[in-house]
Amino acid sequence: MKRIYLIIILLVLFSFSSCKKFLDINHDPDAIENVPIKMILPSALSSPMYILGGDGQIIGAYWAQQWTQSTNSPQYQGFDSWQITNSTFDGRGYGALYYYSLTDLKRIKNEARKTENWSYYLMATVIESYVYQTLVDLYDNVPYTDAIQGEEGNITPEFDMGEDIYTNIVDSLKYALNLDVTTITSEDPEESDIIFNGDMNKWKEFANTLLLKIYLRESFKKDMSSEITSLNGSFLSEDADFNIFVNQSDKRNPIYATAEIEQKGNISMSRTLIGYLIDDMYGSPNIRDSRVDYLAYRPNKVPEAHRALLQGDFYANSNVYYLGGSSTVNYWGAENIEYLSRPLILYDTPLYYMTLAESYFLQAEADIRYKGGAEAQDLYENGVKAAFRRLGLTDTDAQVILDDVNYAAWSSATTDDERLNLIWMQKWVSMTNIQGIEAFIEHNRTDTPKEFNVNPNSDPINWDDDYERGWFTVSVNNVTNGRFPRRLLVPQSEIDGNPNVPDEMRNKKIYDPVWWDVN
Amino acid sequence: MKKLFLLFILFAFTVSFSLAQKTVTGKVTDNEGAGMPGVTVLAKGTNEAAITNLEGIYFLNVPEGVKKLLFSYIGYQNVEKPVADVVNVQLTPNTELEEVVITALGIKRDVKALGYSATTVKSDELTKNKDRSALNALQGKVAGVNITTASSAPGSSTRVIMRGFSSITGSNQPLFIIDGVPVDNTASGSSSINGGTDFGNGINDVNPDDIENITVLKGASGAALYGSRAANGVILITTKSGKSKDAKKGLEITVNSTGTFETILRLPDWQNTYGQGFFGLRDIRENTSWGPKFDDQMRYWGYSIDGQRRIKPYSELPDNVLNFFDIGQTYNNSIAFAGGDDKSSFYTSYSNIYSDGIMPQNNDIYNRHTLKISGKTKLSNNFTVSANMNYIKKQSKYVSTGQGAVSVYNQILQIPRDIPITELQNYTDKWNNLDNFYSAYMVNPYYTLNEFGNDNNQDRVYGSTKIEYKYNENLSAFFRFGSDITNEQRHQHDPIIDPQGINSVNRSWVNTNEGSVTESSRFRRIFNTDFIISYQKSFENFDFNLMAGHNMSQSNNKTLYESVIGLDIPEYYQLKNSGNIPFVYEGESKKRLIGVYMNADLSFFNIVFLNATLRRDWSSTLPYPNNSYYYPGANISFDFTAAFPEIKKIIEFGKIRAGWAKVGRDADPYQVYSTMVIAGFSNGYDGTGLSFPMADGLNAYTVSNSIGNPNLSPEFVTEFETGTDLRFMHGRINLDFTYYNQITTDLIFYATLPYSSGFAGQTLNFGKLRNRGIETLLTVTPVKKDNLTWNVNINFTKNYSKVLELPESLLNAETGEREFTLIGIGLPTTGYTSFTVYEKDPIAVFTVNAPETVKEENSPYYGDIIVDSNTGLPKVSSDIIKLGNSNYDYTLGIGSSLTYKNLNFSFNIDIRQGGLMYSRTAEMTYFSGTNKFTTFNDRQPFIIPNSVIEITDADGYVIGYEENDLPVSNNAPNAIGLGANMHDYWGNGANDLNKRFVIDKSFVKLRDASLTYSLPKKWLTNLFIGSMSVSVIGRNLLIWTPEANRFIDPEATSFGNDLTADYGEYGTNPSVRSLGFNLKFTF
Repeated sequence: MKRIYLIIILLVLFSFSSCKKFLDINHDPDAIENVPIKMILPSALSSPMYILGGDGQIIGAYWAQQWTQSTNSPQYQGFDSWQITNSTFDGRGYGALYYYSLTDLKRIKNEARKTENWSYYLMATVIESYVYQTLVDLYDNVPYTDAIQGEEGNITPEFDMGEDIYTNIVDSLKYALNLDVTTITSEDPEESDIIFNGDMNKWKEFANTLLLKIYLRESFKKDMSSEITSLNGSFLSEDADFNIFVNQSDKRNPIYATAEIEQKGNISMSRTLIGYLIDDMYGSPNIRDSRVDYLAYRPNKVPEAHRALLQGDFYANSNVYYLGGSSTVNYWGAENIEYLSRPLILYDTPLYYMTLAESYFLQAEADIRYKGGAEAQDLYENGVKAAFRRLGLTDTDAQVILDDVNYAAWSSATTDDERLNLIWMQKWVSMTNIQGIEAFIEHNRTDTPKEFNVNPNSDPINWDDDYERGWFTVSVNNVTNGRFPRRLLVPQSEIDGNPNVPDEMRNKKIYDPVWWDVN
Repeated sequence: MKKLFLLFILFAFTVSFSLAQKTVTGKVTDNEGAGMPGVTVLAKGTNEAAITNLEGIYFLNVPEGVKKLLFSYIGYQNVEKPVADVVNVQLTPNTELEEVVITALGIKRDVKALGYSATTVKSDELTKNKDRSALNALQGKVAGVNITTASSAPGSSTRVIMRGFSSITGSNQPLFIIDGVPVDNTASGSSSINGGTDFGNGINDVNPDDIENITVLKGASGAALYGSRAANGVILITTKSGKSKDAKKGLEITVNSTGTFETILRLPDWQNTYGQGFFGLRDIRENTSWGPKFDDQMRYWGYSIDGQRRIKPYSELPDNVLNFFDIGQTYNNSIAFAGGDDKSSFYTSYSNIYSDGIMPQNNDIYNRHTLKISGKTKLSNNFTVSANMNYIKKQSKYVSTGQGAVSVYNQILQIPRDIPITELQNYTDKWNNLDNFYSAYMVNPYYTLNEFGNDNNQDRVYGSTKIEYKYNENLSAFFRFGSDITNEQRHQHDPIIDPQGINSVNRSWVNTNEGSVTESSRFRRIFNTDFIISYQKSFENFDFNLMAGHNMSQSNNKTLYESVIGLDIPEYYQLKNSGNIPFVYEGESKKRLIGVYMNADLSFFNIVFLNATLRRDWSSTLPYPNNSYYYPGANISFDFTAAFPEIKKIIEFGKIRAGWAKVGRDADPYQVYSTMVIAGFSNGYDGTGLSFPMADGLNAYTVSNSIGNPNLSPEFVTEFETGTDLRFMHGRINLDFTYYNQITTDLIFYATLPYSSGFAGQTLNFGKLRNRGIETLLTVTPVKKDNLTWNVNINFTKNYSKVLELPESLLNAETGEREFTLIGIGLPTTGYTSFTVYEKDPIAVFTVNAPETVKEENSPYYGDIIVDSNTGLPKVSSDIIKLGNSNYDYTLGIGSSLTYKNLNFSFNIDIRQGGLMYSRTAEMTYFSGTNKFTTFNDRQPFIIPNSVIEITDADGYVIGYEENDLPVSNNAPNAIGLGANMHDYWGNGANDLNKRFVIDKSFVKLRDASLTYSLPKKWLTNLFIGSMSVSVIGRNLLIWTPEANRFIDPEATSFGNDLTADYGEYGTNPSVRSLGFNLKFTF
């Protein structure tokens, strides 16, 4: 009996005295709770590009009329018929920007502030500002002040006005630009900075160019002359890109993985863009911009020409308009893609925040509008050349179009408006395949390319009598009565879980402009 | 703790004594006059006892002063005899009243003392039809328990749900206990829609021949003592110990040999009028049957290769799909040795099941070996030691389900009605290889079958050791240690699919694959210890039994996973066959639980029985130090026939019972702290995302998109149940009725957060869920004569589930309802179909988007369907309609057994009424034009009845409607506005849209039937054979489903083993019936 006693008492005592050690084992051995910020930085810098350059690129390029939905599958018909829902671009777009990118960026900023690691603070601030600007440009009002506070217990953030967010990101960029980033810290960003390999001067240039981009975006709504003229730093001198893809699953350019590996033939080139780059789509190709063969594959079945689908004509109801009279093809089916040009994107095509070309085009616009325009031609031509060089072409190739008075020659423009139009059109072309979202947003700001409002369905014969090449056309299968898309709708995830979504946000339509959009 | 010590002090008052003795002897016989071994003979009032030997003879030293001897044996009525020098006794089997049930922690209790519902199913019922799974054998036999087999692929898993779903994102599976020790019941496999696999669940590893009986404790009352893990009910499995009443000889050997054959039970109802093509025209590349009517003319099929064409009549092949499948074969052999004497017993067995399923060749295999060793011995110093050990080796090959090239059945479902599938078998010849396969849109099913692979090998050891010490008749204690260790090794591969050559042009757009190899290993371990002290004391009119226990358990899991995509050399499936960076995953978890508990049983006059339990658990998965919780329970049973004996004229035995209990349930590990994870971004399709590390060695972490919850608390299930057991007509009619009302509060949910919080989700406690219902079991013996016995049993279950409360944060402003969608949480997004938990509705409601209709009440077209003027198809509206939920309205099991002399015929019918499920198989047969519904109107053009087109003004606003004159036709339209294409029309669900693919899952199944002949014993006496029987057995022999389901066996599921499984199926392989023979003999 006594022995049993002893055993019992020992057992009981043992299990209770060691309770803390025995039971406090709830830390996941496979998921570390804290890592050095240099191990977060590559994720924080790459995820926005991946989100905007992957799922975002498709919707952006459709709305920027560089791509259109092919007849091969119904995959993105919603985007192209301008029929989106609150769920469009929600989880893997809007959501991922918040719960992947902004959360990581905030973590880096907080740690960097604690350790006065200002180079990390600068990098995180630039990308954070870039992400918030894009969110405002797509959604207008989004959570900012209250955002990313889940860990602090606030899971229902209030929304901020887009204009206020602009003010805040400008302030935070200016603040970050003034920090001392010369001190080398223990966490040298040379390897973890996947964009500039730790070169802080390049980050300052990027920050400065981003400020210019932000100012110009507001500039038709507000007078930004003093802000723009007072920008005195140097501007971006190389592409801000992510360029380490290899040809294997989960390590490729996301559009290549989607459109070439998983669902071949979903996307075709839009007639809007192709019609601007070549003279005749129907007969023998008269290419006026040699980039076309570096941006698009020619059709498998008719490699002598480029052929593109009218925007939003995914049932090819109007096949007479694009196939040059060939009506032998079914209105629907896998083989149709073989008669269409497709985007040329390789497994290692980089993702871009901003290209060198964009930097030049922004500067050129600022020069004309705010600095007298003396350097505008150089800046413009440098922009075009940079865009050619990005595709592996040379300055000589670029010079061909810079000399073409019917297309892109500076001399073809005689007024500032015409010069701005040239800059904006070339900027639109330069963003093909890589910066769909930016091209769409810039179209909203500049109304360039112009919008042509006749639906081909309304008058199949004469609809394009007044059409000029490069102009946006009304999506053939649009559901908005011809109103062009201007924004995304407040995400379903916020509607479902956040009672602080403002009522007026719930009622926005795809064609309602964001705050700076005067068009 | 203080209480525990008090109890110990109480024990100390017990003393023992010994007195002068005399020896009594005698023989115990059964009702046939044969000597009965193993009968306990007790000198009443002492703890002196003896056990009869093989001839039924005993010798007992009876202390002086003892007046009576008590003879007892399980299953027989106790007999008391006055002490004499020789006391011979004949025992009669008890048919009623004194039955004993094994309840929580292995406590044996009289049926009449139970204050809650417990159902026991015995060995012969479980093994009658020789299913490889004891759970499958329980199907339709126990009220309140819903058992479904996910598929009939060899070795697939079985889902058990008791009394409805009490958790939404947590587990609803009961706890499985073998000989007092919890065992692993992990369902191994994947519910991916791009290649689902099912390697079975843990409990199906147990050899049914080893099982003595299974007791099902459905409610919280019966389960309270098992703690957290038992909130969903407990299934107690007692294995054979070698001391069964059949083991009358020193050694008994039982041999069982079964062979069964499996054939297809259900395929879709095919149409046999139209063949390969599209738009009503022939198209040799098509994967659909939207072509012209069969004309029996000789025509080419497939491509031209080397200037040659194949030719066949353009005729229907009604059995082309059926002919694809083989006849499955299952061989089940086992041998068991059992024996013992009055002190010791042992049992050991070996079994093997080899099953080759209905897929051609050796591609779906289940090969299970089990070995069991168990023994028990009673030492002279009042210690009893028992131990058992089980080893299971299981090899499986599984053919993936779902969509895409990985799924064989997905290819089969699309094959046109005139294509001779079996001629595709040689998938390397020039006609059928990847380059020249006839269809532009799919892969040769034989290629998929042979070149994609899922192989799983499992080794598992489980067992326990128990040391029992009986201090005296009143006080005893035991310590038990149990453990269950499983190791699985899995190899999976996809081939390179990259068609080349002239005919591949048409195929280059679809189904290319870079090839992949995945090696993974999964390790699981459960440790469990119990230490229990019990004290019992009987007085004249009052008995009590007190018990206190301590329980400790730990479970560990570890998964290692390595995968490469992009193979260099075709058909060489090794990790090294790729220069790409492998994807590596390592997952590890550990969970611990400590519990202390008390149990008290009191009985008064053998009429009123009270039971009370209290348990406290400390769980490692809850935030330390707020990681403990209590749960109490109490129940009462009242034998009113004993209290008022005059009732016995009508009711021989009757009791009413009532119980209340509350059980806490902890969380999964690692929900408390926020973490960092390796960075990776998804992008729509599998394989299009980005995962770190990058090729140049750069690695990165990201803040996990789930936040930890430092305030996580347990969820509680509170249950009240009441019921009655009644027996009439000498036990010929028994009725067992239970009503229960169960409420789950503070449900542990993984809830999605507004993304602007910086996180996608968090594990939270919220909501309230109720299940209430009735369970009835009626057993009737209409005929009981010398040579003829006929038993019928009927069980009926009806459960009402209702989500009582969801939090404000789940309010959908558009619908005005609080809702939580299960889509995305382990379920795919399939078009407009959703599976959602709504407040105030039964759990898990199916919703679809309604077709757009005219809503203006004053319009002459009010209520008509609006079709799109471009496509001619019904427009999808944003209105969500609730179709109903996935729960059965009721389930009914009917079993019958007829014994005439040595011949027994029995069968069970399983009836389940109501409930909905999604069927991808149905959707595919509409898409490919292969089911009978698609021959509507002989495929002639028709206008959708009561349909209209919108009239719009210049700005595009709807100003009115006009009658739709766009026909739905199977012709090729060549310009806009010609109407809808029939393939699109049916493929999109016709006028019902996605509602068409959510089907009624009611069924009636002839679950099993058997005919057994037991050879008369007198024939065997000279043959060293104890008994011998021969049976013809069948399972799932027949199925009836309502008109809405002409596609599948509605038990099929592709989505795991819990609530999500109720969503339905995504191209699961067809179910089978099996028929075979069994030979059983004992030596």
